[in-house]
Amino acid sequence: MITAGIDIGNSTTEVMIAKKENGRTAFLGYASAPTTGLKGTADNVTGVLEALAAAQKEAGKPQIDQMFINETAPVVSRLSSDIISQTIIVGSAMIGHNPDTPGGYGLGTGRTIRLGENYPSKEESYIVVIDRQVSFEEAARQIQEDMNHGVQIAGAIVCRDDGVLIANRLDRNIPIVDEVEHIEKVPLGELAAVEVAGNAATVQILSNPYGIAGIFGLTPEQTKAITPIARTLIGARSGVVIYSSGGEVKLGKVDAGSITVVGDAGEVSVPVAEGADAINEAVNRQQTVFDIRGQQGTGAGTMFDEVKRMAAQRTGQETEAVKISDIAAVDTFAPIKITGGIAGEYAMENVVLISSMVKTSYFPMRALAEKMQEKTGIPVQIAGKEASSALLGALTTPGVSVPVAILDLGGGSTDAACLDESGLRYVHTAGAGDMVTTMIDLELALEDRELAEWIKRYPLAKAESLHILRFEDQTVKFLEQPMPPEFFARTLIVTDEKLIPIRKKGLTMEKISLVRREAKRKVFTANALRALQKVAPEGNIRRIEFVIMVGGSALDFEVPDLINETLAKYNIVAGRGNILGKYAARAAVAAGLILAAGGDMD
Amino acid sequence: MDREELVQLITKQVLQQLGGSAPAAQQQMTQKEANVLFQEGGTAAKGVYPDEVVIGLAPAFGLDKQETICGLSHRDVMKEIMAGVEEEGMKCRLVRVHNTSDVGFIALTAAKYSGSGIGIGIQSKGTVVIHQKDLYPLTNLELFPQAPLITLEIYRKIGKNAARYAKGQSPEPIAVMNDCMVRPKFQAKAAVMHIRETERVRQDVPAVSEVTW
Repeated sequence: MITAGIDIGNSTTEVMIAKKENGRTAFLGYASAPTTGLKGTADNVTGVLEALAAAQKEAGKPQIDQMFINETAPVVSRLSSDIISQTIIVGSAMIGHNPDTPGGYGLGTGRTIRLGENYPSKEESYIVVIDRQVSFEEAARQIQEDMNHGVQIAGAIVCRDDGVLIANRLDRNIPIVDEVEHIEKVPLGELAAVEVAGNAATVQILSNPYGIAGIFGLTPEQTKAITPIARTLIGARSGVVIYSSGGEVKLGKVDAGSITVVGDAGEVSVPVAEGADAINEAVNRQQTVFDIRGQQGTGAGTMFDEVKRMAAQRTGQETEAVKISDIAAVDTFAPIKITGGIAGEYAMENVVLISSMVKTSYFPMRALAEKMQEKTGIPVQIAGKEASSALLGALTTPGVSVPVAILDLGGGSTDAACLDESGLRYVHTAGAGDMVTTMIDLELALEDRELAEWIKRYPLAKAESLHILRFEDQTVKFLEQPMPPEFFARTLIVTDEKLIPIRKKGLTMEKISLVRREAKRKVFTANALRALQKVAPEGNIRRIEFVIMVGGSALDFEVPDLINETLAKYNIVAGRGNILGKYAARAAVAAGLILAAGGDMD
Repeated sequence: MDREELVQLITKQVLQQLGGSAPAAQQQMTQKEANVLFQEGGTAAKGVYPDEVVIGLAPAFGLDKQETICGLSHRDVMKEIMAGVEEEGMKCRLVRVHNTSDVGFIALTAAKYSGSGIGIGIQSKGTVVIHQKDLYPLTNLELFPQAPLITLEIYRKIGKNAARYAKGQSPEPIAVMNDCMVRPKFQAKAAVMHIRETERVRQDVPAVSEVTW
């Protein structure tokens, strides 16, 4: 008998064809095609037929007697991000600022005074404030003249982008911070400190609360109040802090609402502003989650409503009947413009990213199976749960034995299944590839999800010249044809077919690759551990001996390595699935369906 | 009046506005010798230092009429471009390109003489191109074709961006304004200025000479 196993996934449809004779199975062909329409709907038929035709061609065009499709657990997932911190400058007392090209270096402290005004005393030092209409030549001449007259000028705050130009025209070094947009807001006659770091260094004194306290002689209470400013200056190449007693900087927590988890351990509420760890803990305290609710009128509330509505739409259930089965939270940050800043300063505000998931009891495959049968004339049988088929297929990977677990790294959910002497357990958990994309988008402030998706999927390179590409691992590729001029000196995403330039200012290759790797590490390693823990024998990961990674994100160029690194600590053999010793991990379910041959594993 | 007559009439008026007919302009030039912007030097050498950006001047830049098409003085324009390069911590070197008045080729020549491989080409009327030595002549890194719309701030940014390319950073391309009325408004003037530039083209001297500011 010739059978075909068909796996309809979110992005691709896989078909495996095999011949069964006297209890022996010989695999004849395999092909995959993009999934057409939403997974689990009748629209999928077009993609199925395409993949089926391709697989049949490879198998030598046998007549298929029976088709099997998997019973997918329809998982609907959704992401939300809530900003939970906010920096506000009141009375423009302090500014943290990071222009590209400040002038001079070192730290200067003094009283702020407009350049050209009379200096009250020669004993005190001054920080000169230079307005927009003053040219760099005029400013440099005036400062030099004043310094020659014995005025102690310790630094300068400049409106235009003139820092280096002024510094180059002075006979001694003073730190100069430029590009201070709203120079008129800089309070005059107040104590100020200007710090400029050298190349490849960052400010050391102004990014340290005690450094600022030392300069201005602050009390412990006041030191506490200026800490947000020190924090925004961490990693900056230059900065200004002006201390006037009237003003203050507030680092507030934004009320992002709360999340209530209902499960077998009772009802637990946790404010979103507490961060990802608190939220995850509230979820993990439950053996089984019955439902999760968000406070109405908050970001979390909206997200849960939306995912429930989507699930209800798909299944035809009442929205009230749909329950959230899992959430996963990750702490991240996003650059947000500081309210009340003088130079358009940004602060890295905390953001909590939450992925939620609904598992419905409705299986939409029935209608699809009927449609397929009608189109092909071949009997279609719904066979086996996705998890068990995947496990069966994954077991064909050479070098694997029980106890074995599979880790299905998808876009919306991370699923795990484990098989040992006592049977099969499986779990769907929220949080996967889509969450990584959102994190990249937020942390790099791209506001371009498509670009974030490209960044997630492919390595980076820099066009050192029009013929030389230097990759992030420092390897070099020489090109025969020159690249287009708009790629010159840019960071490029190297996909299989094309190069995509990243045009945003300040995004170096190193920074992008760091953010990308960290996002993958935070989402996938944490979730892989969580999912495996739930299915492991006695909840002990160490009892699993083999882990096989399957699913779209298992094809990622670095995620499997990151997970491997983590699992190595538990003495687990982990790797990408090698189905039947020759096919990519995503063929696992299709192969498993044939092996199960209609009989359900559990 | 047919079209040709109209063009002639406009050209005449433009010439008048530009300060008399061609011989008068030459007289003016002798007056302006006192107001020289650049010291013209001997044959230029190719640069070897990676921290330089070479600015290639078109044959007439800073000579006859020291103003761009919209009346910015060549002195201010040069000052801003050079300040832009300096603010980025790079150095400027000036050369004059004698054998062409085409700004693309001038910029490419400057790039080829530049130790960093980045050059800027500038015409008397104010049109600017940022070029890289390995590019084809008719491509470029950034082109600012509508000279009447370029302000001093933009000239500063051009200097900055050229220096950033030279440092191997990826600058954001400068946003340029576009005005569809620029062409009809300035076409005659641009043509006259370009003709004057082209009249200064010489093939009998070394193509690239040193210039000091």
